[in-house]
Amino acid sequence: MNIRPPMKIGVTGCGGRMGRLLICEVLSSPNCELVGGCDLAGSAAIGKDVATQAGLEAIGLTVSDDPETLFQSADAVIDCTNPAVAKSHLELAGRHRTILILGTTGLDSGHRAAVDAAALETVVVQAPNMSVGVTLLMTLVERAATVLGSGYDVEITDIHHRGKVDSPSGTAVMLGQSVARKRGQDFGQMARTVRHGETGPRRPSDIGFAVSRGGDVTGDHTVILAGQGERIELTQRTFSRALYAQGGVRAALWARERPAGRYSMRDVLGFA
Amino acid sequence: MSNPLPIIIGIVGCGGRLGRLLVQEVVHTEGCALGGGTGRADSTVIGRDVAELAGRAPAGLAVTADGKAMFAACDVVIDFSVASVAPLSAEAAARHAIPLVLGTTGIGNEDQATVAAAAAKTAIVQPANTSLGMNVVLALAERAARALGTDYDIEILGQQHRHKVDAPSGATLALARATATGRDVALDQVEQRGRHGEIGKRPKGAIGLATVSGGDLSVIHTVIFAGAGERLEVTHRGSTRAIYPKGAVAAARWAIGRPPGLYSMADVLDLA
Repeated sequence: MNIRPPMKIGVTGCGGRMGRLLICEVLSSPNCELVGGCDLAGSAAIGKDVATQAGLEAIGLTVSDDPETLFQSADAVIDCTNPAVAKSHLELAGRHRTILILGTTGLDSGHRAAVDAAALETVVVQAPNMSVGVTLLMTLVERAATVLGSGYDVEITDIHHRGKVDSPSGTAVMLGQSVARKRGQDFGQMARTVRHGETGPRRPSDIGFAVSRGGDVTGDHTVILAGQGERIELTQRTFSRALYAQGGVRAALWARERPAGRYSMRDVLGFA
Repeated sequence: MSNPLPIIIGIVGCGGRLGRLLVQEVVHTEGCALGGGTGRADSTVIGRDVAELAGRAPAGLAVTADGKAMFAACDVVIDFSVASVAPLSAEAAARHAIPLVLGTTGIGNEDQATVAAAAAKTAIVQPANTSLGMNVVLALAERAARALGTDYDIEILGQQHRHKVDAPSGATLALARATATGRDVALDQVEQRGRHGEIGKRPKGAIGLATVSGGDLSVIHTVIFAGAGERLEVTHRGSTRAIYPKGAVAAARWAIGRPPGLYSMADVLDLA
């Protein structure tokens, strides 16, 4: 019998909205052991019980402001912080050979070198959208766009809650970009984000966007591929942000015995 | 003359709704010619002109109840008629050593065994659905099922027109099979159909099939992958039956000269 011990997982930015969800997810995953959480020095979560501040019963681990210790003791760290903090965590991950699941968004080209350096020593999974569904949606959209070809018009719709301030959503744009890439087109030339009034006929290679906002919708995206007499619609509906946390834990477990390198959620799901 | 001889195509059940569309498609398609059409012996269409019946200029071919004569006169035969005819068509194709495109749904196990035996002697293409879009959806559904695993409940919803006499539709079943293949399980071990009353909790890993019927034309099939906090939907909408004859004739042309065997539309469209 070869029973593997649970994977030791740490969470950075554990006092944030995503961090708290990650704590809950790690604690409820049978193959994981939560070894700690940290947050920025001075943040309200420091010194509190990691689980209590995430809305669960106390487990006797307090939120620390010392990421170095966390990276030493964990097999994997899931990071949902900010670009500046993430950069220092990449360095720690490399030095301690700790798997890093990088959920932080808004990374710029300056992070590229930090990711590559860490990826020489350990597994880095770059996952700005840790949702399994959205990651999969993207691969399905690319496959469909490739096979169906230019005879099928691509339109993308997104629905989000009334508080969202940018349109179309970042995920909608990402979906459009992958279609353009697969078709060898310049996304900027093809994107049609506004249609109103006398628009004239649809240009054959347009990638059209339609946006709805209202209520508390977490986020739905549909990619339509419309041909003669038929159409395909690929939809992902998000009901809970907890699924981002699930994606993060799934990525950590997947990363367990991988060779050092830079990976994405697509690798985690087997869509390299 | 540089034009090669046209491919002579026969249509079983040419007086039916789909049969007439198939005749139209053959007449329309360059490189193809109509070789004849059959109908039930007691049908009022017997003796009428095959092409005229489909709203086209007369072809000088009378609808016959004599399948033997038609198979002898054709390079390939298309049968989208009724399940009871399928084994007869398969045997006739094998006897005359010509390919068959068999689009009939609802074929029982015993008759399917007859079809498989005939396919040892000649090429039989058995598409669950001949539209390009549906076949892309089948490929995507299998892929998604493999990637998501049993944490995502799979439900297949077929919305069919009121004229359809069997349920679930062939496409619903094909989608269910595709997802079962993606999970490496046998569909008959996990499928759930016809839910009503106190059926108990949904078993983990079940694949549900449901059918909605109504209207006269539009056919919609959706595969739902329902997980915790999100769901993915892959939908095919067919707004005209014209998409089926196009694929059927493409399959017939593809099948000419193929070695004996049972083929799918994935083979025809090279989607593997």
